[in-house]
Amino acid sequence: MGCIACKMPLRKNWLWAALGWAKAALQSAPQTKASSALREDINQQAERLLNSYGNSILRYAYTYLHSREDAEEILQETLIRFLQTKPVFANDQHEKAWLLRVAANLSKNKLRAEKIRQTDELNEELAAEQRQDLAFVWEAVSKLPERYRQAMHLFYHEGYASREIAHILGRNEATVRSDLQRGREKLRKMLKEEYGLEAEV
Amino acid sequence: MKQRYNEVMEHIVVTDEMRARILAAVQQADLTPRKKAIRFDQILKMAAAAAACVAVVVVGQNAMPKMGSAAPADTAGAYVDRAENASDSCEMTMQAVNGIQECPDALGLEQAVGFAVPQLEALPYTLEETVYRSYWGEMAEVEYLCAGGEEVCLRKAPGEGPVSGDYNDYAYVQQLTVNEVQAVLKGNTESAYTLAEWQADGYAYSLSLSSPQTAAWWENAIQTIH
Repeated sequence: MGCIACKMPLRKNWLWAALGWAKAALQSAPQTKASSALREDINQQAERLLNSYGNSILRYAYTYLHSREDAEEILQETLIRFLQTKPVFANDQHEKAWLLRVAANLSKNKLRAEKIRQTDELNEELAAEQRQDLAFVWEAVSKLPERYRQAMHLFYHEGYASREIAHILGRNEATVRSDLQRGREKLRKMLKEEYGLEAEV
Repeated sequence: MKQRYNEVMEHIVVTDEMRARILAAVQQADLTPRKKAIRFDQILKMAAAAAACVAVVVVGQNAMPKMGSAAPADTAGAYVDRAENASDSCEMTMQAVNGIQECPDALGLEQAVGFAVPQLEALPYTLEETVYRSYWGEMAEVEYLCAGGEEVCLRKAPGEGPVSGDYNDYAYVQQLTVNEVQAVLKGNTESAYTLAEWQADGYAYSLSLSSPQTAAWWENAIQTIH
């Protein structure tokens, strides 16, 4: 009697199986060590990214989504994309620009797939802290068209030049300069007319 | 302003709990490199682009020998012009980053997204510049940048949308029927609106303005699109 599939006598088949088990048993110990080292490496990379860029990515995602929970989801997904892709960069600035670009695209995808939350946690917090001036600024910035808001966030908060913003947002540099100028004009007008704030924008 | 904005942003920070949740999720995640799935319509688009380039090469090869022949000078010039134009449309001189492409003109945008993109015939402001943009080859955006910082943005994408990206709450919402198209107008001023969203022929549309316009203006604008 033999195995029909491999056309070998059963005894010989059993022998192959036993050899396979023995081999697997011998290899299992180093594999566990390797996967443990890999997990440690992934953890270290994720911690480095969180320490260096966590707040920047979270804040940028928040400007799109107006929810900490959603922004946290984008931050997490951005890190996972980084660890999956393992991109190599010339310097830290390129690395940060890549992460912000991915976060922007993920945020836009999320905006297209779901409705943005109607309540903005920041508005509530700033009101509770009685920082009306900050609440006005955030409310006015939130009302700006998305293209101006993103360009202005990268310019004011991240300190990027228009050329770098163009690279992150996938726009022409001239368009970014125009967006920044128009965004400023709109913001100045809005702060003055709707909130009575004379702010240098 | 910069200082105030940065103060606002300082409220958004990665907390210890958030960090722990993210690190735990990363450990559980499948980190094998992602393979980009190519959809059938994207394959069609790529095939169409390749066919267009082949056509340009064939036309170019046919044109070149005729340039050196005894053809009149103006005819030879016409061949050169045609070849150059065809080459331009193939390259489309686009800037593409992360699937967002700024296209040189309406034709370039239509080639990038693979469907017809309507144009607004009458704008409520004085036009200064028009920007054509394709989002991931799936959504078309035509932005009309006008005098005084005013702007108009028209978006179109296959499916049911919404495509405006504007999910603000509006004080006034009105239904408007134009040529059997059911549009929803939204605005914060009574009887004047800044956003319209609708669906027609399997596409979702949105049209937004920086300053509100009456329902009559919107009716005319939607009519020119359909």
